[in-house]
Amino acid sequence: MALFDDLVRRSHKQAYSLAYRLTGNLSEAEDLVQESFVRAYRFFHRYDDNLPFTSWLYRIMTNAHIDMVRRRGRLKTTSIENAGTDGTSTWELPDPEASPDKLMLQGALDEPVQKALLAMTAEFRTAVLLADVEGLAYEEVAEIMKTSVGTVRSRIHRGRKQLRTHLLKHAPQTYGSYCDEL
Amino acid sequence: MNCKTVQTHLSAYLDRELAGDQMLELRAHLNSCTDCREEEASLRSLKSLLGGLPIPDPSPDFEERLTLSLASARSVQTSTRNYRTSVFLFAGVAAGAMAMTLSFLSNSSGQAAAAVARDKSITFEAQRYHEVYNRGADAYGGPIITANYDGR
Repeated sequence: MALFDDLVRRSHKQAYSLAYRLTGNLSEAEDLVQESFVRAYRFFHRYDDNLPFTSWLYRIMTNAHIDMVRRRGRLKTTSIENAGTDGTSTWELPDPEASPDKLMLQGALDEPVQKALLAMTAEFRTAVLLADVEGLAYEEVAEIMKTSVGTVRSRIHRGRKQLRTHLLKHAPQTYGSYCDEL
Repeated sequence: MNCKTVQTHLSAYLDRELAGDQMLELRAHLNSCTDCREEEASLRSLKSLLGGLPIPDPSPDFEERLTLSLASARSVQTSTRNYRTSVFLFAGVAAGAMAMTLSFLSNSSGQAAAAVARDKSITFEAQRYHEVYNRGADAYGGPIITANYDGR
């Protein structure tokens, strides 16, 4: 099981990033990552190494996330408001080339974006995050979500439009400034 | 391509997920249509926003807690596996013992049956000879020829 331990070490931060965007909550994200790795450990004998480990893990994670959503009936969004200010988390800025204004606006839009993500169905949210945050191709997203490329294409397009509508309604000025900055 | 079709395919266009000829057709439409170009720019901004979202770090002790929860899952799985192995082993030994007992019993009763059969056969033969000599027939049912040694 040294191989599995190594994969955990290499992928847990990336997995946490997706889990955080899926749940919008630091502690739920940690629970989701733990649950996903425990499931991955149990079924590791079924893992086909032709598929990247993260893709396989994301498939497990999206299923675990949908289970969590169904179990709880709703998603909590409270801790996103405290993220970064409660001393329990730090922020990594993935785009050092971006202008300071753009970075500041991105930071300011983080909360509205996360709220917009959480307002979507789990299927739309997962498709948009896998494509736009993880940068996966539609075929990989379809493989992870066990659906067709056509369905993925539709979920991503409709999901992005829902996000935009939400941002224009709840953060029109910040979002407008961000768009002007590009 | 009309505006409606173009706008349906804009996300796939931005993600470079359209076939080559569709990409070219859509690009040609964008060059000549202001509304669709604005829609494309708007979706491009959103995609850029999502791709540049800050990524939070997990809490400092998260890796340690993750390792512990995996160790716990591992120990549960190992004890479950050991339990299953013990159950299978016990079942195997029990089945073997039962098979040996049955085989022994079956052999014993076979030998006893053979002995009884042998006894019955001897008794039958003895009775048969007894009856034959009483009836004046040989062991195979033929008449007993009493020899007259002087030839008469």
